[in-house]
Amino acid sequence: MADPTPHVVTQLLHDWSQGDETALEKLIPIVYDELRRQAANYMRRERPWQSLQTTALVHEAYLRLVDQRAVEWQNRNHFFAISASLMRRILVDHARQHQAVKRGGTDLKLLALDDAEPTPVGDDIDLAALDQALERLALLDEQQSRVVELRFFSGLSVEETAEVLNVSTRTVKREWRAAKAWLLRELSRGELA
Amino acid sequence: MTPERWRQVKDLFASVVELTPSQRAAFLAQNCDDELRGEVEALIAADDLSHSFMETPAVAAVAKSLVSESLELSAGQFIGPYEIVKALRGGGMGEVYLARDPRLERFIVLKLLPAYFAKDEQFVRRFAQEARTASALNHPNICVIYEIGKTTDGRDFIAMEHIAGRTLREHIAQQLLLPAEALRVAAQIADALTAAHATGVVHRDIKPENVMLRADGYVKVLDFGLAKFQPRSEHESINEARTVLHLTEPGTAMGTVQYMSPEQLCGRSVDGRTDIWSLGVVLHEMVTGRTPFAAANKNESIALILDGGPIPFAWHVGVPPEFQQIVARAMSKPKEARYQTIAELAADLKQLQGLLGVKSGMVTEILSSSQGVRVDSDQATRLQRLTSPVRKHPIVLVSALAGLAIILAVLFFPRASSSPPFQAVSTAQLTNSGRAVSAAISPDGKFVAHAIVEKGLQVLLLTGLATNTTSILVPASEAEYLGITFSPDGNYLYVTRRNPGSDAGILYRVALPGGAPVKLKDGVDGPIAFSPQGERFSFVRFTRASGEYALMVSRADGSEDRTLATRNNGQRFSLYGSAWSPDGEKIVCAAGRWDKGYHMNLVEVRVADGQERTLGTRQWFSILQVGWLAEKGWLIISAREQWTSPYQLWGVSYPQGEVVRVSNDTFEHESVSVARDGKVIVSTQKQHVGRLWIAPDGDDRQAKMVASNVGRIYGLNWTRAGKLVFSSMAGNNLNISRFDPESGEQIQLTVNAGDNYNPAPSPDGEHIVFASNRTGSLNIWRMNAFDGSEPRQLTFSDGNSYPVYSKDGEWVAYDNQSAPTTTIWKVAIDGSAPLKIIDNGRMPVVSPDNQFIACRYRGEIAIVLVQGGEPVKRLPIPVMDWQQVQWTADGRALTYITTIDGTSNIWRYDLVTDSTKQLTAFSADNIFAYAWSTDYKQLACQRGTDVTDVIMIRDQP
Repeated sequence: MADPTPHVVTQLLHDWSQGDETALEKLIPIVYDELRRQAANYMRRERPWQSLQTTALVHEAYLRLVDQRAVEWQNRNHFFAISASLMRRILVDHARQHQAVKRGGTDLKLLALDDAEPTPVGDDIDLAALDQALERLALLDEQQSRVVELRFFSGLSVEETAEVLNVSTRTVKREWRAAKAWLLRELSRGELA
Repeated sequence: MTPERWRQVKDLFASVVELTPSQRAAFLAQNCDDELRGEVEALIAADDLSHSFMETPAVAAVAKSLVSESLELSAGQFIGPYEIVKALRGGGMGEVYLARDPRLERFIVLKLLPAYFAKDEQFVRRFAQEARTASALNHPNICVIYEIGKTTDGRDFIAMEHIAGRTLREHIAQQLLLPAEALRVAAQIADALTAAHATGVVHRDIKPENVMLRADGYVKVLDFGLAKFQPRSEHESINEARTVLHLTEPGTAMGTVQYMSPEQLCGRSVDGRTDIWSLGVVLHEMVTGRTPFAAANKNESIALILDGGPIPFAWHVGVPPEFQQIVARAMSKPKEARYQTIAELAADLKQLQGLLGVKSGMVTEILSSSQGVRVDSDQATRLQRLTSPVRKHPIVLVSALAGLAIILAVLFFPRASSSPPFQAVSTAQLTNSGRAVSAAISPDGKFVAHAIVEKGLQVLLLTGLATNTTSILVPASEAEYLGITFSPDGNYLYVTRRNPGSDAGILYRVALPGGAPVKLKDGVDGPIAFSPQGERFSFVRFTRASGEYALMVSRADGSEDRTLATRNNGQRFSLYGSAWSPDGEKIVCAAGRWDKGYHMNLVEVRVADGQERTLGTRQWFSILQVGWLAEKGWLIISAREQWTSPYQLWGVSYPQGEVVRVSNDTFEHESVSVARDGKVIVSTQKQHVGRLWIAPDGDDRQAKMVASNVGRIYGLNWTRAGKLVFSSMAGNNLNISRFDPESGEQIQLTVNAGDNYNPAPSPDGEHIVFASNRTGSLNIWRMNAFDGSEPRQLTFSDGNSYPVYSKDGEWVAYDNQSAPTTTIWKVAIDGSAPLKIIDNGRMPVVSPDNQFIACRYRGEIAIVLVQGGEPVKRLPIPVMDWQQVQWTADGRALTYITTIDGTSNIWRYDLVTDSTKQLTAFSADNIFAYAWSTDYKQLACQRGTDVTDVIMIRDQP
């Protein structure tokens, strides 16, 4: 099986951004598979778990999958925004399925990783719940939800996020901090209740 | 909360977090109401806890499970009945594992399809169906698919044969293959593809990654039919290719595109010929280490593959030209110009492999194994080259200008020939019987007449081209048609034929569209040619007694012969036909002579007084027929450049004698007939199909084929050691080879020394005598039988051939054809004392007691004493084209070939009782050459057929 070629993914992304939901159906498994492949590569190459460069991972997956030059995006920022939405969909879907597997159990489940190794912060985040909270946040503050998508799901830096959203880094920092606080509070709500 | 409210909250929050905790309370008290303050404070509380929250991107949260999913299966787990041993390689078509089948105690390879495929039910269904088709393939060179199934969680898997070895990709990365090795691998791939194509399965993704090399030499092809389920091949179409054409992606995703055929890249439907292309690419890569279209990036590669230009092969030194030809043909851009079936390619691969296995540079007509009319890309290029200068021809340019310019052109270039005709053509095969002998087109281009052989008899047929209906003009008879000519008014067909029991040609006239043949004239030995008005015709008469060839003119009713020109003393006119000039004043005919070998050229003869002029300076080895394109000022001739090259069609400008090729293929085109408008040529195409057989004791039931394609053999003999020696085309010449019928090993004994043929070993097996034109003249030579070393010239005249050793090894008998009458000679083995044995003899063979010579003599076989003198016995054994009799061991009989109803067998003529007996009982094919082993226990013979059909070539200027 050959690697899915960048232009295929790019075209699908483009179609999706134009409102073609079937494009997303095709897109998700390809990107998802690529992410898995990338994750596996990193695991093989860089044994210590903590050195896993997740941001780089995401970037690389995108660079491999998406031909950023080939598509007539309204602009580069549009492209990143679409990509971030896609990543959010994929990762949240994955988290939901993974939880389901955990709950249901399966003979395919396996623990290949050394449990003694430390897990990164954020591993505790319930992405499904976060996703829902983010939906609510978007109703209150569209820009803030975009910042979260870009920073958290797409792994962009503050500077990159500022560029994509065409705002100052200061604004990004401010929005990011507020969004984090708000989302943490939202996620804590269930426990506190 | 409303967005407005949230805006307030977050603005306050942003301000507050900048303050120290002690300042915050005061700030909030000052700026908010209670409810607002509650919101902000809650946020601040969360903020205190959220320093690390979400600071690691989301992917980290799932990376662990992502990774663990990609290592889904581990040793000991079961998928269906299979126990996972280890992962083999990631990526590709899902994951690949080495697994064990505990039931059969064997290892298998398990492929899990990528999970995302599972969501597309239609896809999965199609995939499963295709995999099932592929799993039905049963061939030693195809990786076996054992099972297609689903895991418990619904993922599709394929269980397949585990092949211990490495991929061709891995092998190439370490070490290039020698041409012979590459052929061995490619031949096995081709065998696998042959089996697959036979069941309708096209591989679509032949590349080194999909070929496994086993340690024991077996080659296995993987992933049959699965390629079309790869997104790449679905999307790698021309449209996508165009959109990415401006991109450069150094080093990325070069992958499969390198092996894709043009039609595959264009997203057009593909068939088995796409695999032929890909195998061509792999062949190139195996010996050179790179694919032929390797470029800086994928798009350049795609452009190279699609581009119509010549293939930019980069061959290493030492890759034989025949290898390159095979690859070039496999990779012809139009798929119609490639090998049409993988079996054809396989045959050529094996043939060359066999030859390279022994000695490189040894070539026979391996590339002529396939049939059909083709224009390969080289040829197309050649045609382009030939046609483009035409457009720049001064007269053409000038004539494009106004009238004055045309007048000037006529004034200054009155003799310039017009543009060469038939430089771009379309060719149609009119018959497919393979048994055509002669053909002609009517002047109006509406009818074609041709003769075919049916069960040894010849039938004359007439085909209406408009209706494509064929009728019998003259039913089957024993007559042999030598020439067919339509009268200029199209009312009659004039046929020259030889009747049974006669070697003289007779002219008949048949009224069209049908009527009994009416005898018109004796002594017409080839096709006639009509004057433009049709009131006269020309022909060539051969008088056997004097050896004279005469170009003659007669009235249309056959009366009033007149001799225009003659050839004597070994010089000849072609018996195959002349042509009249459009003004009726000249006749062009081919004439030949011995002059450092045999040569023919065109001669124009003035009808009024027989004055001759040589047309042009070009010579050929042989010219057969001539046709005149009246309006164009060009002649079309069928001619071969050397004895060994096929008869091809050429254009010759009149009167300049400028020469262009019209055909350029491996067929023999022996006849020329043109329609009046000069736009159509009807000719024949002949291909020789011959195989070498060994029959113990001459028993045809035990006959075994030992070589399938050695081309036309010129001289076949056994050595004392049970090897065969023969001459066949190798490179551009006839060369002598020694062939071991046991092992199939073939060793070329002559190289780069002209044409060499008629090899005959000495009684002690140490030497071989043969005929060679290496000095320019045709003479008898001797060389060491083991390695062809120490060549020594025995005769020093010209036209000497068919040498045989005396049984004591002291002298050599041979014949000479350069004089008006053929003669048989003998010469001492040191080249001294040449002595003429008999006139009118040809092809001598020495009796076992060394006392007699049997030879062809005046249309039959004669036996003469080795000292010479008149024949002591004459035998009514028919003399056919390649008839050379042989003695039996006891010297009491001769064996010879008899062909009945198109099937040849070997017969025995008892010299004591004058009785004949059939020795072999082959039921098909001709015998072109045969030889008894020195102990007379083995019969070697080359059997086969000439496949001849009528073709029509249309000028497409």
